[in-house]
Amino acid sequence: MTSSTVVAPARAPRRRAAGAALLFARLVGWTILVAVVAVVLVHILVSLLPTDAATVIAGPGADPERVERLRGELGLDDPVVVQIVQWLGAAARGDVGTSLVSGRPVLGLLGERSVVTAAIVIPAWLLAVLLGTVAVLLVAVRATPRTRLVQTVAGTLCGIPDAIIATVLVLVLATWLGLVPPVSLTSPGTSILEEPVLLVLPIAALVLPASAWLVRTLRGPAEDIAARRYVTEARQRGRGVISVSLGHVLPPLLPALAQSAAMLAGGIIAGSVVVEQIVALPGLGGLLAQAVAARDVPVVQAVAVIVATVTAAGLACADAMCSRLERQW
Amino acid sequence: MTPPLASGSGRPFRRVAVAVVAALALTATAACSSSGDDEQDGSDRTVRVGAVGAGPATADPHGSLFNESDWVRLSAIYDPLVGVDEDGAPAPALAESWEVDDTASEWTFTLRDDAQFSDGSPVTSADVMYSLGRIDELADQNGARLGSVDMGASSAPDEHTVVLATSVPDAELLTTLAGSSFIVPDGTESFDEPVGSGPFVVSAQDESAASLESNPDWWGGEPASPGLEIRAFADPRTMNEAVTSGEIDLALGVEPAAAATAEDNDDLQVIRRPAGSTTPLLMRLDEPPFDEPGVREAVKLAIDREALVENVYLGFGQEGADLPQPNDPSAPNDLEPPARDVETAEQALAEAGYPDGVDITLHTSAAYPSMVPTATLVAEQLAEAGIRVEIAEESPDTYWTETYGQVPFSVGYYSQMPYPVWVRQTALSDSAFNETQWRRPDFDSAFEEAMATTDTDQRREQLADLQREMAAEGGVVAWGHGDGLTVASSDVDGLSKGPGFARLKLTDVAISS
Repeated sequence: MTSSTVVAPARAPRRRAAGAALLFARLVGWTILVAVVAVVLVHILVSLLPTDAATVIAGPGADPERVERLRGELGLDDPVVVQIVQWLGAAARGDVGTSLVSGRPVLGLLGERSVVTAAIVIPAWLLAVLLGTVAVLLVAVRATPRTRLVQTVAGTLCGIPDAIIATVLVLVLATWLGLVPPVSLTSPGTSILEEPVLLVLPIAALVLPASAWLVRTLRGPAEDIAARRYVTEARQRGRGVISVSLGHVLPPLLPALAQSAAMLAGGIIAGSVVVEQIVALPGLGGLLAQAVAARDVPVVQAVAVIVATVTAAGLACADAMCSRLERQW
Repeated sequence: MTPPLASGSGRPFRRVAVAVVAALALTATAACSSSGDDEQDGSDRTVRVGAVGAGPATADPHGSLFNESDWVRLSAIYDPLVGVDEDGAPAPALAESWEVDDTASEWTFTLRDDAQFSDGSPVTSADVMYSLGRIDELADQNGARLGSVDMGASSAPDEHTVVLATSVPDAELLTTLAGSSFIVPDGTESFDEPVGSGPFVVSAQDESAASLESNPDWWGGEPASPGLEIRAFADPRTMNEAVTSGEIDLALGVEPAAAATAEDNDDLQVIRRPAGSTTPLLMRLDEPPFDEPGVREAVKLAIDREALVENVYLGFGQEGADLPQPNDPSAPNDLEPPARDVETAEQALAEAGYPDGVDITLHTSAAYPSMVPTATLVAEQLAEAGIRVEIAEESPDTYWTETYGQVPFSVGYYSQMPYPVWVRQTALSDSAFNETQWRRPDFDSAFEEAMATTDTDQRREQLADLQREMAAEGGVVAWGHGDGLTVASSDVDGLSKGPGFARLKLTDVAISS
């Protein structure tokens, strides 16, 4: 995608519209392709895992004949290729199947859980991009021992697994300071959005490592830009840090920022699986963990489609943006 | 790099701004959380229950049920045909009485006439026949929960009578049905909006939690609390945090370490139910060295049961006398756990043909937290008697299908079930999965005879003899039993202390003022 052949900006509006349509079509096509590849890979991976849903349902020490009968009922005795083709065929008609374990429609399982995950992933992503950008600009434009500390902290945070960051946050914010509940429990039937305080902990746990990663990734490019002559001259002329950051350093940094931010989206979604488990938030992460443990292929596939679509679409948009921005700068 | 430039007067302002914003944010969050606490004050409120539910929530009461959270919720919504009393023994529920014929193969149940579903319709024999038929159809998924019942030969002669025929004489049918024979309205196919006749009615539910209101018309009398909130926790540690911080009132099925911490906390109480689970050693009688009775005896004598209970269950347990199901009413309670005797063990080993000791591999897995510590300690203890154990830790995913019961020496796991059900699963010559290859025609026929004995005391004595025989000569080393543990906040009253399905009884639970 990076080696773009997008139609160059032209005067004629008709040609520009055609270019936009082409771009959009490519975006959609690319996203669908990635989603399909993800489904196929995920299905193969789950079927490579030891044991299957029939064994899980029948339970430990079950009569092998019973397990075999269940396998037949669930359609697990078909070859993997047949299973994948059948699923793709049904999905193309809008039927993403039912859970092998609970027998309930996959779409119903995704409903409220997608909202919960979106409610932590989207704010976390926005905050991480904002925080990371501010920090990286600060470090690049105004190198002092204190800003270098930001860099050290970011480096350290990057190396710590999400699970540990989340656990430490629970300890500090919930157990010691008592500011937020240690687990994010909503009353049944009410949306998590009605109790936003429950989102503080999971969002914080996602933002910290994500913004740290952004600082580490963008520091190099940002420092290169900050060392350009027109930037140092602007500083010497007495322009303030904020003005130089926003006016001189940020614009040329945007292409790199867009790409990193898109990658960050994938990273945050992955991190949400871990964080949701730790604070008992009923989102897609918990669903995925359960489904993998129970070898519930249709559910795993559905979650994979969502994650792959969001990440692929994000990356494709970032690429498109990049090529536009690069032409400007 | 740019030289640092002081930004002058901007700085103090920025600090103030940051401080103000931070303070506002903190007050806002603190205010929100404290207003939440206020709502929950007062004695007449919903009891918030937590239970472990690692798998997807299951709405079908007749399907595959592994989550404790599902058992808790379904037991609150649905009545079983046969219930349990405080001690976990069969007791009237939707069936108010029963009779068995002389051959112990035909049971006549009389249904109570004051039970009704939450949609207002009365519970009749048609509902019972439909529900039991469904349990029978789904036998592959629910581990044949209906036991020996032959639905084809069973009938409902009138609205309040059900006659169940069994395929073999089964004087212990009640223990099989007790607690799990959930009755739903005739013809129910979807369980998304549950209709039951139980003590609670669902008012709202989602993937991880359900709100239930108490049913004022329940035949057993209105429950003590106005309602329940039942929540599934994928991770027991999260559940511990929730009960410690007061976000739930009680946590069912906690680990010993969490119970030990809770005992030191004045705001919490710990309820211990005897023998909630067992982590036995399984020796296959058809494989060397355990084909020699002397080796089996040596293992049983060389382990230090007291130390095992102290270390594996942190003292929240009891020593076992190699009885697989010590809570069963037929368990011979006079049987003492064998005391550790390393010398006699060595002697038995030598007489069995292993004067220089023996090398064996003990297979285990982290499927349950007690299993790996059991193997580690047992290996140390057996080494002192010349039984040199190498531990093989297998993946929890494949352990139950590929390792346990198939290798000569493995660590197993039992949750509670009636002794006769356990025997049928694993101790008869024709059992589908005979863990220790205990195949004795005499044992089989003595079991059959016991199952055809309708006199309860006599039958229990017969079953007790079978358990004594197997404890002395068999391959199951049930060295101890971990308590079923509930942690609750100290203002929770009316918690059941009984074993088995009695743990799920929440009708008397309420928050005291």
